[in-house]
Amino acid sequence: MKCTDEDLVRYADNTISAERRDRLLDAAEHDTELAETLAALDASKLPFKAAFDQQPLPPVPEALRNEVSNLVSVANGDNVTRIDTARSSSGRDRKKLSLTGWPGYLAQAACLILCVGIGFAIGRADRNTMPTDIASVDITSTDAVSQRQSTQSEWVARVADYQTLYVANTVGNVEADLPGTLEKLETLEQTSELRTAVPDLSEAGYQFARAQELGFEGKTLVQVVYTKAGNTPLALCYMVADGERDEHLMIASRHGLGTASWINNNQRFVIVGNEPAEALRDLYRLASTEFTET
Amino acid sequence: MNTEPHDTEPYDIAASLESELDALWRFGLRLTSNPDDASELVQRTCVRALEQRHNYTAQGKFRSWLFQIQHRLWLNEIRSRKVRAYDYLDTTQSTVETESGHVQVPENASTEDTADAKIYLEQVYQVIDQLPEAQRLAIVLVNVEGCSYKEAADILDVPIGTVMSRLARARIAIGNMHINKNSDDATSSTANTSRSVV
Repeated sequence: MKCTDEDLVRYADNTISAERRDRLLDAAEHDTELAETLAALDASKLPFKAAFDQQPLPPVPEALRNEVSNLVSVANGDNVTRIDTARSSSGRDRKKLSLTGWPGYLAQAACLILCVGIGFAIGRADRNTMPTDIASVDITSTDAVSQRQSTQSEWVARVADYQTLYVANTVGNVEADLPGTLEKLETLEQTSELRTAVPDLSEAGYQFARAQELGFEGKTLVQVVYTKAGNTPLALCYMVADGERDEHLMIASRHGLGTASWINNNQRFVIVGNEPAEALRDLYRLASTEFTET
Repeated sequence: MNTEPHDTEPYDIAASLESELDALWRFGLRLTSNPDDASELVQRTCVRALEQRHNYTAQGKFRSWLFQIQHRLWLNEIRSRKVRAYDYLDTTQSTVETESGHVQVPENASTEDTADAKIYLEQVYQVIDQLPEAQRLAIVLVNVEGCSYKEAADILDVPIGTVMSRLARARIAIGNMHINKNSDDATSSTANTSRSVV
């Protein structure tokens, strides 16, 4: 008889029909090779699951659990995403600055996470009328002191949260297209109030990887990503402020990443990366100089 | 595979994702053999699943769908790294051989040695761990994670016939290891008896 792989597997898993099994056994009486195969399959009926269950595996890292929880929280705020889409559709269309090789799911994650900020802002602005489900989208426990003060810190927090999703491999295989990016940024600058630049951070060991246009509170947010050998990617993000006065450099940390934020000439900036305070100050100096000169 | 989609309501992927985290972590470790890689892989799997949640048809089991995403991401990763890729080649070998050409079986893996079940299970695990990657994954999915043959084929992105072929070769290899080991144990036992008589 012709014996198929499926026959053998089902024989081993005891899911073969009785009729088929009998035919196999009958055939094996006249076929030594088949008999040996069936004997091997009989011997392979081992407690596989128990063997694996016994293996001590490291527990799910708490950081991973928190990251997934954050992602899920953001995804649950899908209604907020639609609100933002409706708003932006009446304004200038958003376009990606550089999507060559950019993982779509990370761009999506960025939009999702930043939309949490949108949801939070909407929830706060309409606290008296909005249902609590909008506010529940918030993934921070920040109590607003004043709307203006908290806006900057929320923005920094959201960008830092997004940056925690980055690892070296995220942009490791990207071919940087600085001329193309600069060209697109220039176009963006001409059609918005945003001052754009891709600061040269090579003095600090960082090389430009890519830039992307994202959204926050219905506004354009530019994210420029840099890489450095042996370190996680670093991001410089900037967007037009809401008329806030200039703020000096503020160094902080969030989820193990350092942040350097400031406001200059009605534009918010934040640098997020795995760097100590001193290095962040150097990066701030390099980045802010180019915007001042622009 | 305890997560079943609903037939009448949109499947809440975001809500189900956290409940599948342990399974994703476990499968991530099986794929990568490295907690750091597994952590990144799980994270990327979750992001991808959320991105593609509207594509989930709810026709299949949610965990299988997640495993499929996870496996694809890992394949892309090892292709980009050019490491361990050879492990995924669907080799035709039906046994695991040592440099000397003999099947390598952990010592003292007798099924009769029920007094030390823990050691026995460890040896079963080691036997599976010695299989070629493609066969090992097929065994893990079907015989450990409880996937159906079709689900395993979907997760591994191969025809079901290929899964059957891998499973058949894996089971024959495992069985032969076990038979040879028992044979060796019997020989060893006889020799020990002879020595004790002398």
